[in-house]
Amino acid sequence: MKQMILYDIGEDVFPMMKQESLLFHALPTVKDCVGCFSCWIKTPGSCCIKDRCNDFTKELSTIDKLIIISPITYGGYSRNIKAVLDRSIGYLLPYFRTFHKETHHQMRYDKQFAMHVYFYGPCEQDEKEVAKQLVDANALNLNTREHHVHFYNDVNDVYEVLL
Amino acid sequence: MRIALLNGSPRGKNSTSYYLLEELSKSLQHQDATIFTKATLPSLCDCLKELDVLVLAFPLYVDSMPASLIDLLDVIKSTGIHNTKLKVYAIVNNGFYEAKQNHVAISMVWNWCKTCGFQKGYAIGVGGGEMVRFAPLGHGPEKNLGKAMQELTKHICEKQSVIDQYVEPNFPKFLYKVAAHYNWKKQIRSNGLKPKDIKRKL
Repeated sequence: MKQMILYDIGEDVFPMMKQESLLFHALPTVKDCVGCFSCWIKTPGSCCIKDRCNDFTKELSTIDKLIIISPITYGGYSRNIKAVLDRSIGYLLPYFRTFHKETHHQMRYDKQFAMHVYFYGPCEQDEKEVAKQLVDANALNLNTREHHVHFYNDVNDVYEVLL
Repeated sequence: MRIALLNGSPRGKNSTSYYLLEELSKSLQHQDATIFTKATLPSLCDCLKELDVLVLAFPLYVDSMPASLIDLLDVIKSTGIHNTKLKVYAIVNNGFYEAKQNHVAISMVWNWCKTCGFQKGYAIGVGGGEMVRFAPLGHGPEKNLGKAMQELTKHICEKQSVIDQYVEPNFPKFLYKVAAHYNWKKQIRSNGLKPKDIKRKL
């Protein structure tokens, strides 16, 4: 089983998992998506911004499991994690599909991955509720096989669970 | 009354968000309303203490705010200025038809407000964002949005909060989809590729 871990802290801890996982460290921050839609209509499937995030989308199409570890930020991902996710829309097609009467994008790839999101840091209950809704929406739009959301006060607790 | 409008679109001036802020600024003609961007954020932070109203406008990126906007919100938060009289409003648009798909991003704005100690105004969630500039606000497919923007102007002037509004184009959903698909094919052809290239797998 191939898994990818997208994380933004703890560089010393994750190399231990390198043999079994693809690691994507969100720091230093990758360049922000500029909303040009090149990944749909100029270089379909790949982002036109050339940096280390360029292959992220392609890798998503090969994995069985995506693990995201992010500090909870206003009920969502941190700025650094989100910069990587914003660059991934080439994983989808620009075309629409209708699912449960709602518009979503059609999939570029047939393979589906499972999505596990670990939010850490102190937060209030309403932030947790929003974060759950966010991951539900992501899972629907990314057509994931399954998805799970977890909350921990401290990032070390996340490492303990994963290692 | 001092009003700041913050454009959270990575497309800058060439964005639906900027267009809507410009329209809002015009209708707030007797007020002191300035549009700020990433480049002018320091001056927004400088006047944060004196602000009465802040309006955020941004597109939905991967079900929430664009990363670059989270960055701006982090900067505003880090000033530590708890202007408790500041009322925040938001205009969030997405490329899907359903305006409700903006609701997570809107909730995140309110979480940010709470963290910063600002007051919650209300938000307009806009569906069919790609169409917004097809017709003048208040006309044709943008009839509902024009009305919502007029109400927003009025509510801002009175610093009122109402429940979040969700606005979809006055245009059938199936036609929106047809038009979008047609448009993608047209655009890929103009880039010298064929429609089948859109579905390319890497």
